[in-house]
Amino acid sequence: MKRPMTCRNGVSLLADYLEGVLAPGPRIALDTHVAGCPRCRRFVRSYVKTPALVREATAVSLPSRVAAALRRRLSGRRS
Amino acid sequence: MTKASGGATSDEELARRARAGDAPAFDALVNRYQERVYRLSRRLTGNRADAEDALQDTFLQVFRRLSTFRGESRFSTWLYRIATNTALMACRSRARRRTEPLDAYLPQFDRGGRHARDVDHARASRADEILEQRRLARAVQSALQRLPELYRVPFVLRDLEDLDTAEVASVLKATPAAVRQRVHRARLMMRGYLSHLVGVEP
Repeated sequence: MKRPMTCRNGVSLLADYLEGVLAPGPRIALDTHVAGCPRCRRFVRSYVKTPALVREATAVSLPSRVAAALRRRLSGRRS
Repeated sequence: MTKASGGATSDEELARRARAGDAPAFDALVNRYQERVYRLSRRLTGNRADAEDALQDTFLQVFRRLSTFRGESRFSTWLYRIATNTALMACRSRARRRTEPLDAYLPQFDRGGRHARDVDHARASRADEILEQRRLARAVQSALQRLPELYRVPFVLRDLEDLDTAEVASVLKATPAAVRQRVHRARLMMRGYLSHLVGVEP
């Protein structure tokens, strides 16, 4: 891993980094780059925040009407 | 989940009993998973009607195919695979929606490989309040539908339904590395699109 760490390279490694599967060499290079790059720090924050925003915006609970319809359909098929 | 903690019967044990004709065991599985299957279906299909159909079809399929569940994977993995495929079928059978690609929202870099755009903090910090608004919820759901299926499905399973990468890989019969790569791509597109909505400076 000798290529210079740029924002682009760093972004390509983010998922592996966050999941803890990145090798020590690139991990340290990425840490060093991000520490000195405010744009990358903001990018990482928004990258991490994205799934949380989407999860919250798309959270739904099962309406009781839909649960009742499921129950009717299943009992119809099984009897 | 599969764990039989606190005396709860494991999924696999309930599946074994249901296969042998124990109706209450099957009902217990339905009760345990109906909420998650419905939420997954809503996220994959993007609308109530398809999600409701997918929910019913999923459990009918589970009922019919219980005899083929051999316990080689966790029950939840097997169920998520059926639920995912059923929801995708519901999407495909519906008339094609417009699919404006989200590629334009991928991060941009200059020639030196540095970020060409930055996050506008003032706008980004308002994202939480804006989230309260239905408009954003609808926009997010519509963005999710515009993600290519290849990225949308692992993103929903991994980041929204909180399955770990190994289980998503098992559901999709893909490698963990491929799952990470597709989830990453989805996050980048969704991040860019949401930043567009809530704050990024070109």
